[in-house]
Amino acid sequence: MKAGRMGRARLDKRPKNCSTLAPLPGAWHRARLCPFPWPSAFRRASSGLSQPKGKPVPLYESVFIARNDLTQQQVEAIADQVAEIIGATGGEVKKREYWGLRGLAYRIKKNRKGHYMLLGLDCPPAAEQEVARQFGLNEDILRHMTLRVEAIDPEAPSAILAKRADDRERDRGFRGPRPAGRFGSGRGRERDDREEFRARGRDDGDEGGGEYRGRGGEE
Amino acid sequence: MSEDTSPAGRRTAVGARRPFYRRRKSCPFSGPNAPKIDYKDVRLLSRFLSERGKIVPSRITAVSGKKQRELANAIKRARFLALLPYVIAD
Repeated sequence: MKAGRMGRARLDKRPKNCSTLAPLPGAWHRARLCPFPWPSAFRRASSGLSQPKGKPVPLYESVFIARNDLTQQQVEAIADQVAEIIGATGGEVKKREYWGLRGLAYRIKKNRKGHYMLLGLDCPPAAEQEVARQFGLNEDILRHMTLRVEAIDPEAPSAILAKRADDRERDRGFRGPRPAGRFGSGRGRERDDREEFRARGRDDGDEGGGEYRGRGGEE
Repeated sequence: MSEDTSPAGRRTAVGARRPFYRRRKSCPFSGPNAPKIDYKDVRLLSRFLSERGKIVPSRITAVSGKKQRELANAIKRARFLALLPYVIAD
């Protein structure tokens, strides 16, 4: 216990008067009061590997949906504004991904389609809050969501884009819940024929034959 | 897990099976090269929705408890961003 505390103190190379250190749960962690592990972003910062020391900068992933009748240039312009806000506070936009005009799963403010844009941000929390505030004020933005993430890969396209390209080979392992009765004999079919037991139809028609769909034959 | 025979072979043996036999299931998100749960991966998430758009319980899909919580979170995020529907009305 004592040794652990010493180790933490040595790891933390931030200056004692560092302003960002003050409101953090650091004191809790040093006192071993906090039930949660030391947040990784601060661990990353205090180990001094990738970040300049004394500057815990979290990573964020922000998605926003812009209105249907904007052009792609206008959406890019919004992203530029975000980059400006981020840049002013010393952060940077590490990733920018335009998902195109996608259909929305339900109507938002009478829109059935929207431009999706993903931004990977590396910025202090205050900048993230300012971006969220601006999103809220902007009437062209239907919806936005920002999450803190562990890592941002600026190169790899996110799942939503990657899936379109090569979904034939990957993810063949699991085909969702079986649409069959619960028992090998097919018994219990009537009682169990509730809606949640029936999987949604696959959206691709190339399932390998009927053997996985044989009702009552698999379980 | 114990998939030692081909699906076709198992199918012929169904008649001789005990009525209450259940195959041991394993979590589709555990083990090597398991897919990562991500709210952006709509195709993956949509497999765990019923035809009404509800999240399928893990006792049906055999997802482990920990992963089911993660999955539910991801589905809810995807719903918020209108990538997945809250309800599929017919």
